[in-house]
Amino acid sequence: MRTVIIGAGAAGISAAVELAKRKPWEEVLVLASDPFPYSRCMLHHYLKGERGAKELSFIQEDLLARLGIGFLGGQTVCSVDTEKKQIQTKEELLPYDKLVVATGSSYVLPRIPNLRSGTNVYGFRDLKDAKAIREACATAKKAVVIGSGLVGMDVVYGLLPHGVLITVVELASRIMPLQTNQVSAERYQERFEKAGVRFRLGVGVSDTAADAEGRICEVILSDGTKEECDLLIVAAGVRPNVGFLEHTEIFINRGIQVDAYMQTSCPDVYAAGDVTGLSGIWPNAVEQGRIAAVNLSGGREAYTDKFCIKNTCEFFGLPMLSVGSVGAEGDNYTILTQETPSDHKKLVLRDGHVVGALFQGDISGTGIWQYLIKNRVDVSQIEKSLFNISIADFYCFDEDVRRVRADSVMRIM
Amino acid sequence: MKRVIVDPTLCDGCRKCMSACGGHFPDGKSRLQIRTDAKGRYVPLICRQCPRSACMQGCMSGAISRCPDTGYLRYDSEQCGGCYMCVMNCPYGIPFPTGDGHVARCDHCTDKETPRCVEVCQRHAIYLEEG
Repeated sequence: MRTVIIGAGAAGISAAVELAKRKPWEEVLVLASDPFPYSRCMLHHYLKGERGAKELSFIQEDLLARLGIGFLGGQTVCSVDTEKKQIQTKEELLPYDKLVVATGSSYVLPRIPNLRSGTNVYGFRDLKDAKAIREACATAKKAVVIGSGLVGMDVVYGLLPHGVLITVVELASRIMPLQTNQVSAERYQERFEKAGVRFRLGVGVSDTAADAEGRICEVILSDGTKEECDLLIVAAGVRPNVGFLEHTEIFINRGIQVDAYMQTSCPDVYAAGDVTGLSGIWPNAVEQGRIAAVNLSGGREAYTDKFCIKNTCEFFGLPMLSVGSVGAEGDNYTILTQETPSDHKKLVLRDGHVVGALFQGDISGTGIWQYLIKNRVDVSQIEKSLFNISIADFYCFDEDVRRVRADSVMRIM
Repeated sequence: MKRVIVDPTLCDGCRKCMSACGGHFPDGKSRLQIRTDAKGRYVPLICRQCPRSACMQGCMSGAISRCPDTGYLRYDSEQCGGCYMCVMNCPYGIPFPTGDGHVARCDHCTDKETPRCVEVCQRHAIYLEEG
């Protein structure tokens, strides 16, 4: 029995490791475009020059070998034949018995003139993107980054040591609009501006000008103003990598459709991670990969913990946690905030439970918020400030039991 | 594998466990906390060494892994990318940022027979049990 896993990211490696543990006598082969498994979440460390490529790995060097998992890196999968159960790569035809598609996503280039043909236009998704940007920084003087989401700001942070003048263009009126509110966005923006970054908020890029060599030298914004650049980085969203499945029976919506057991519409084909479009966050990809492996190897476990509106980041030593609907507002919601010069905290409540939590500064103990939000735990009976709670507030204490146990321990001592 | 079990009904908030824990780490920060509920009753909050560990699941750098010999979770601070997804993912709210881009997390005092918090607790509110 051979299971092939296409993709060596969070979902792919998680599936491979789970499968190797459950069925160590069966063949597991990971086919990846990546030269080796690495964490895309750490690419900004590479761009900054803090880490080499090998230091981006998220697994021990000998893990795959130790578990008997085969790995073929640098591969291009051209197509899959789900009837003959074969994968066509550039080099060979690989048969499979079971297949896990964990090919992740790729960055999107919006339909702006010259963006697709521009020779100095980059995304920030793969190691090769980070390598190319790092090389371009050797001669670049002015960079424009389109999009101030988490990826966009990671790129900006990674570019800082290179001495390039950076301008960030963002459609929304604040940076990282999905994770922040005005206060927390401004606290980050101040720090980036102090480091020399410029922000153009509330505008988009509507056009570009390119030179004779196809290099974009100017972006024209939706308010008519222009920004010069010799390096353009686009961080405007991603799209699942499903092109190679075009001629199969695998049902694809925006991402690969899977049922509760991570199975696709094709028997023996499973999918996990960003390619399903279910979530874009690492722990969910890991869980989906594990569940795919459980189910394809004879187990039966549903993917139930789907909560994915959760993110953390840190810039200039200021951490932030953003979970749930941090921007919800209106009569049905109660907003609680607590602010000090170093911390900004916001909780959004509805019907007695928390729906959103935004903590910037001290984020210790904030892991409880994901649990409380996704399980809609009633916090209305808690008799203290919600900003001071911990799991201690959810313990059940029986006073009689407490007294009897304390007495008996004292007698023993 | 021995697990640290907590009986909060016996805890009197002396915090000797916190001093002992902090003393074990170069940064001096205790990986466990003594918190109180609304009625002021003490609850020691210690890493549960979860069999299906949410912190490890969130770790995108490989810094958190499970030691194949002991079964306890371990943390490689050099590998850590300072993303704090472990902080976000732990439903008990146990790990926390150290302030220098790393995370404070319990390592079950694998350098000793008995974890320091267990050793110093005179009320037996924190103890070891096989399981």
